[in-house]
Amino acid sequence: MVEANITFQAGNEAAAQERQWVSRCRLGDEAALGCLIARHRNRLIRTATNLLRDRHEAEDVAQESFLKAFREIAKLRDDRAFSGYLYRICVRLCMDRLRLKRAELVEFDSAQPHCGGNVENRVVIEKLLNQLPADLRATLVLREMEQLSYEEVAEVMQVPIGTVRSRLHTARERFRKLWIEAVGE
Amino acid sequence: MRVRIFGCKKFARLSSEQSDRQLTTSETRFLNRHRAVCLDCQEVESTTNCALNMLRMATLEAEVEPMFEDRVLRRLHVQQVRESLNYWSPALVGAGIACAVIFVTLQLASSAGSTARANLPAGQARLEISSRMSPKLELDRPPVLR
Repeated sequence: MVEANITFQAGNEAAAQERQWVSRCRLGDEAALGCLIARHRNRLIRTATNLLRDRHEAEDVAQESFLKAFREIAKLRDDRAFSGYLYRICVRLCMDRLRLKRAELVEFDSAQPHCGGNVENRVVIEKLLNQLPADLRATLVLREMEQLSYEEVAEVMQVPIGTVRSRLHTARERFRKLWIEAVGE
Repeated sequence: MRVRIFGCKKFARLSSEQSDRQLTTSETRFLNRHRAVCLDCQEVESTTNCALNMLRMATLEAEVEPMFEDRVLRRLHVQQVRESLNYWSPALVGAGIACAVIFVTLQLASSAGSTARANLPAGQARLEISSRMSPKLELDRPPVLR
């Protein structure tokens, strides 16, 4: 109970601090910009990396998300909405890039394995994810890899919770079928 | 031979949802009962779990490059300069065009005056001026007596 209270208070303090930074950013305070970047960069880059499966592209997307969010920060009505807004921009940019990539028909051979861990598994997973449509892929990654709740996925992707549920079900089923095909090869 | 059992669709939906939410007692009971009798659904569930476990294992961690903040701030400055240029550029272009027009007009006006004078035959200008401006001598005329 005490621990939960402490966590809640810490969360409140962090939110209050973020609101302060956002209002200072509006006045052109560069230190506040730096603080906001430092707070959100890891989560943003991680999500972009898992969605795009490319570290360089993920960093580029993260930078672009910050730029877009800071450009529109004056128009943001609610200071508390900044992190959600930033995250939404990042996922939207990732989905745009995924749609472009899918249009280019990325071949299996061109997939570059990442260093460390089970490289073979990662390459197979990348191949399978590349075969899923962008919205199914994003839903699956946000839920399974980023461990977001249905509500969070719905907020980030700006779709109703029912849509998230059905997309997730479809994505899991298609991923399973692709997985069986890949393992059977 | 495997026989499809009624409720496979419901099983697939609940099996997918059990990792996302707490199922009710009746839903859990249904899953357990169906799993026990339907081999196909059992297999689908186990392969789904296996595939999703592999997916989770392939999660990549964030690798933040050094100077990330600096790069973002630098790009932000560039963007701001570009935006302010975009904002002021129509005014700057307009002012440039106006300056050019004024300059050309002044040039044309000055060159037009000099060419008009240059086109007159030699001595013409002086003659015209003398005939128009010189005072007439009235001494030659005899005085009229009244």
